[in-house]
Amino acid sequence: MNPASWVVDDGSVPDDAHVFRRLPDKPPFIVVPDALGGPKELGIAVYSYDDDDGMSVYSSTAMDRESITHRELIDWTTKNLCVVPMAVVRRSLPRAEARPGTVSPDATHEVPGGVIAAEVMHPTDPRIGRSHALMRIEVVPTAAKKLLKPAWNAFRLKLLDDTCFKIEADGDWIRQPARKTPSGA
Amino acid sequence: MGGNGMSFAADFYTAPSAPVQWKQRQKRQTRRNLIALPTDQREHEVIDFERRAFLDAVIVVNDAIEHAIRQIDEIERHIDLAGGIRSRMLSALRASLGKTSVFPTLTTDGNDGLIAQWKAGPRYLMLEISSDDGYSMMATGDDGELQLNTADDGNPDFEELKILVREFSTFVEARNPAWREQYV
Repeated sequence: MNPASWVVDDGSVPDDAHVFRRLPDKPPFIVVPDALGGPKELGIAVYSYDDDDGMSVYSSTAMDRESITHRELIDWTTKNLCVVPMAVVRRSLPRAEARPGTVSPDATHEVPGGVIAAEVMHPTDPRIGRSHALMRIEVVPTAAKKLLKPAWNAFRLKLLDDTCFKIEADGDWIRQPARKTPSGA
Repeated sequence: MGGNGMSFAADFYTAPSAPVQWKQRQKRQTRRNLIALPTDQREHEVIDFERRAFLDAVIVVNDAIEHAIRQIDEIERHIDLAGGIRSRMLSALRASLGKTSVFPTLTTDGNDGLIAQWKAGPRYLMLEISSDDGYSMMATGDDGELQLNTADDGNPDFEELKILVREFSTFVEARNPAWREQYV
């Protein structure tokens, strides 16, 4: 793939927006116990990705345009929902300013990402399909695994640190210590 | 029992979790059967490899591996893992998990692969076995900083993983000897 043809961010989602990601509720794969007895945390599998396309998400900007709320995005009997601020997706803090664990040993900054609009067909609600987007990083899908996977992994750890999670439509966003409920979500 | 080393390994890796005592009884007989296999067969090299891998696998059975197998069994009740994923992950875990190792948490990778994760305060260890025939591995230190973030084709260095698991488990044991309560 020609790196020039790999679009990471089309600017369609402003920094003050959010991206939502839906997850199956089974098999259980969301939380990882803390062997020291601390709170369980979201596992990295929350942010799985497709090597060729990126990570399937829903943009709050498009959702506002389609007049659809996050409560309508999924079937809450079989799915859960997580959300992360767009500013975090794009963020690329230097190591000295970043939270521990978000910068690879051989890197100087967090891995930045972006979102492109990517409408899909939806079986029941076209508004959901029109709200679909893809989250990506700069490393092209055809790069060697030893480049591609570590970049995605560091990017995913960065996202996890600012992710909130919900298991019921009208429930609270589940927060980890030091994480904040996204405003307006 | 299968007629060649390939089926021995496949049968073992794909078998549902079984009591530890049963597997220990099977080890001795299985090892005798494997050693008795003629080596002047067409797939000699493949069989020899599978025999070595199988012998490595049958030796290691402990609580951590049993915990992982139960979790993988649960995962497979809901999704179809890609071919070879279960055996590749179990090979890595059998090579690295000892009787005092902290239990990994097994999840899917969101597709048809598997991830093993260990979490203890600032410490994090992750092994991902994916269906593109690759793997990735990450580890943080006591300060929470990433000390390892690597990936490649094939399988991870089992010795490296063993060291990482041992260091992680030592860290946990020193701070919370009752860590097993977190995995009930």
